[in-house]
Amino acid sequence: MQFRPALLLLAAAVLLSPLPAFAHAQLLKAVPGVGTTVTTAPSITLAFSEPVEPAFCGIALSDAAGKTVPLGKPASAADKATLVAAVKARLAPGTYTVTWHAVSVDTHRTQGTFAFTLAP
Amino acid sequence: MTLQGALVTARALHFCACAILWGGGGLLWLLRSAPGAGAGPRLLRIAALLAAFSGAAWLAATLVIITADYGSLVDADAWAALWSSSFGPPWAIRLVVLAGAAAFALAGRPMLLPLLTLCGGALALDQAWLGHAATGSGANGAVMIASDALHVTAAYAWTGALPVLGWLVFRGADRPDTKRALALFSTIGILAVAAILATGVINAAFRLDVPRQLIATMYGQILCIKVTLFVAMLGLAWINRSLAAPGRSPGMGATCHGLLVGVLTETAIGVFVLSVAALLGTTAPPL
Ligand SMILES: [Cu+2]
Repeated sequence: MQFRPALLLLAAAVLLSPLPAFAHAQLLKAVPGVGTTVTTAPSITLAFSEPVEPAFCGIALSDAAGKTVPLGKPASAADKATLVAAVKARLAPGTYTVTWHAVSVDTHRTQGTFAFTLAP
Repeated sequence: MTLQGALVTARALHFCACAILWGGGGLLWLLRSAPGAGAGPRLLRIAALLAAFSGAAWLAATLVIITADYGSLVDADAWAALWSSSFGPPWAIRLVVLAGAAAFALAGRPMLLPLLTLCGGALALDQAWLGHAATGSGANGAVMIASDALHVTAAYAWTGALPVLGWLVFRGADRPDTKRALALFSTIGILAVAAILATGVINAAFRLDVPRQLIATMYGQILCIKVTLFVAMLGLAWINRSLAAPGRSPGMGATCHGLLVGVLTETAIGVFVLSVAALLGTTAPPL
């Protein structure tokens, strides 16, 4: 059993090395940002922790009254982990809610919702 | 049952069935003298059919969950989107292999045993592309896929051989083919355990950032349960190994009975481990 210390060392080296963590697609960053106030919102951009499958992803935008704002079909950017949907209407100042769902390349679905405010 | 529950159940059944094809089929194949009739070969045929049904159920549950719509099961566009996604090709390959295994099983000829075993091996490898190991890219991505594929292959080899070994011991621990099977299994077991340990550590390192997440997150806690069951299996394997040691005469009453109980208990824990793996694979690792 002389190989045991070597195995333990390898295990320790692997566990302690800074490897990137891979998970379901989690929202890392959004533009407009979560809870922020912005002056313009020509599109909704969502950056995820994983590559996503755009065909199974969706983004919806609604105003403070709950009325749906038309958006373009979400497309993924070159990194495959970012979704962009164009806003197809002129937005009046106010609070807006983004509701999204995403399917990562690991076959798992995640979803979430957040708000941002458009300042005049 | 919730959709998520159906998904995990289908995956657990599927993992057990695929394990029997690869591990159980492999053990019978290595024995060569395997008879065409009896509970062992019959178990393989049942496993092939169960693998096909549970695999289809896993895919159906996946499609319903990712579209949040039962209607997508009969929606050609939803299926087209699935086949053209990154997990479409591995799923298509899996369905072809499953259909092949079911056809071989229904043909019921003993000489098809190697084909059933190879189907089990292909299913073990293919699984790496249907989960968290598929989220990497570049060199990291290749290591994740390779590590996960080896992990599943080794786990199936060990856990799947157990029910067939139990059947052989039940038939007669003193029979020459049973003795040969016990010797073969002890080699398979050592190789499998080494591979499972090494790749398990690598997989965990990719999913978790800091050891604290092992207790602080749901993913880590389920992983801890899996490791605990794995250690229990190891302990039991150690006891079984000493009961089956060539010095002992397994044919002698108490030892033979003890060995059978030991192997069946190890099988039961194996089913548990695969079920926990089925749950773990659908749980979100911590960010
Ligand atoms: Cu996931």
